[in-house]
Amino acid sequence: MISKGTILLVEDNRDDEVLTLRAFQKNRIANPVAVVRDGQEALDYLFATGSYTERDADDLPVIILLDLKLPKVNGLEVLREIRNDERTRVIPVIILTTSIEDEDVIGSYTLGANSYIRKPVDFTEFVEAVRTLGNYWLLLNTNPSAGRR
Amino acid sequence: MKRRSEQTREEQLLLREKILGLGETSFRKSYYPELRIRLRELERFRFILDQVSVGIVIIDPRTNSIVDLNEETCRLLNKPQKELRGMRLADCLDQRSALNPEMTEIENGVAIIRDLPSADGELRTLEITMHHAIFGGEEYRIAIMRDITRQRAAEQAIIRTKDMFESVIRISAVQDAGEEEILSAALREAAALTESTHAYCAILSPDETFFTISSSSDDIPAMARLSPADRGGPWEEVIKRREPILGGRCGGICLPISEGDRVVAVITLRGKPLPYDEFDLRVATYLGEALWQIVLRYRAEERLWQLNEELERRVMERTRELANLNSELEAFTYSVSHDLRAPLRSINGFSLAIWEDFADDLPEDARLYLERIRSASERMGTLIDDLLLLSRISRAELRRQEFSLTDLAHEVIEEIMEQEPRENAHVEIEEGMVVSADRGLMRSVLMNLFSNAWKFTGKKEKTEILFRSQKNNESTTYCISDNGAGFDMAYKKKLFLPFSRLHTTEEFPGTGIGLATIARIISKHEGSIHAEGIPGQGATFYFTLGSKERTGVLQ
Repeated sequence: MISKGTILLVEDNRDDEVLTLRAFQKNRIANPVAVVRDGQEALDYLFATGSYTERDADDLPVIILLDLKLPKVNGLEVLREIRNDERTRVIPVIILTTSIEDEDVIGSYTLGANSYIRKPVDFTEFVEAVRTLGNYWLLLNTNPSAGRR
Repeated sequence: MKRRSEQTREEQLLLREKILGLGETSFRKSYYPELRIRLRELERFRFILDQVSVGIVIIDPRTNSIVDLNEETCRLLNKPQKELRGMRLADCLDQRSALNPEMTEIENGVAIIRDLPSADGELRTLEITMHHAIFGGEEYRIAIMRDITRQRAAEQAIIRTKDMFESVIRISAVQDAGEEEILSAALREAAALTESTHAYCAILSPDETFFTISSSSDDIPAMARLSPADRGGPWEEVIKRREPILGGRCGGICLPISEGDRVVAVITLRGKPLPYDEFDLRVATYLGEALWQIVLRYRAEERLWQLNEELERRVMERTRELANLNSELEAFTYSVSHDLRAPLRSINGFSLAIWEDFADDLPEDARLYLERIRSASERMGTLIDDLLLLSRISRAELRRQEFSLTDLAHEVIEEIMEQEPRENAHVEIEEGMVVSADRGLMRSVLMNLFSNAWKFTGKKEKTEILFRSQKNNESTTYCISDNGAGFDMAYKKKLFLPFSRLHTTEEFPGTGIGLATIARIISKHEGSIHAEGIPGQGATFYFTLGSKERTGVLQ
């Protein structure tokens, strides 16, 4: 069963956004993708606050792709908020970043990230990584939100 | 003649009568020689008595007058025999001293008479003891007099010397005080030792134009603490003559303190009730020297303390600077890791997108150029990753553990062979090499060195790689040699510098950071690394792992 839920992409780099969407497309991942550009916007989207007050707070994404280096509120802070809130606690969060610094990798897993992917320079490698990720989190993995519906 | 013990009591009495010239037989001439002998004995005895250096006086207790005395008594009392006979002993002693109770003291039945004038004008101290004696049934008093002037002086000298040393010790023990307080304390001691009312120390300024004056008392106003040096007077004289002045114009003691050829200070003592003597000068000289040494020590300590403070301040400053630099470097590394790679991804990703989406519309050349853009961006990605590794190793903490280098080498070479299989390869690794080192970092070292060996032997017909150890004295050297492309020894110093390469990327791919990374890891282990090579024939890399390393051969 392929989950058709929304994928939340937290990414401030427009190029990376385009490339990530392209990688989805190449892997035939057709889920709707919501893109937010900084940490605060990500939290507003998830909890239907700020400019997202009109949004239905119960309509949560099936997975979150989270960059670490973000304007306003950084990725690790966003992750902490997601894991601290009852509503968002179980959503799979995949860190998608360029950093391989120990403090980022260890920090992410400590705060409850489900996966940590370093964006490779080679786009074909990236497409491959997204394919694996899509297969696992959208296809094989039993998603908690899927069970709820 | 019979011996005395054989004589009867009657015979003895008779003999005594004869000798004294009494009794019926005293007129007989035969006793005269006997009397002469006795007289000579008496004279001899008298002579001996006159020679002893103790005054002996026999006094009739009824009249208190002197009955007899020896020569030493005349000398001690500075009067002839004739005059002294019949005088009272108290009158013979100097009137002044006899009347002055301060000059006479009784210690354990011994009278001490001080400051008696003698023939040579010096003052003497006499010790007199009184004894009782009975001659021929009559009672007499005998005074024994000794001249203890020298003994007393010696005792005084010892006491004053002891006081002086105690003073020096007290001055040395003055702590947590400024130079001025130390000087005042030392001057107070000097004044007390010499019975002076005032003691000063005038320190000459380095340009010899003025004195800075310290005093034993606080009666110098602050304004007068500086005094011009060319004012004349005893201080200037002392500096000119470089000798102390005792008494005279300075009215006390003026004493120069020298450092090498230069007089640096003048010590002055004033106000002793009696005239200053040589001993005072000695005390002042000694105390002055000690005082100056203490001042010098104080100044040296002060300087040392200041230097220490300065050093500590500088260390803190440097540490702060280094910490700043370090955090800047970390921020930079993070930024390189994150921000520099992002545009590369765009370059790579969009070139591929063009190629994929518009390949049919593009001429062959354009597609080739796109390929080049992509491979260049990948190379740069590798370069950034290698740089990051180098920077991470520099910051990493070394965690030594004992492990088998042989096993690690097998693990690494198998990985390489798997990624890039090659026929006709012979790899020999010495058995039982055990080291104490950081396993993770050593893996990087072996991975780099074996990869290099593998890479540079790629164009040979047969690949030969050898890993072995050489024990020399305490340390062990590890060598990895290959039969690959080698290098010109002229460039051996450039090998380990980041970004320096001895081959083109077309010949052998690489970023030129690998060996720099290895060198940094080895240096973190306090070891050393060097290489030897012959172009076209191969290269050997030698490394050690520092003194903390323990090696052994597994049985």
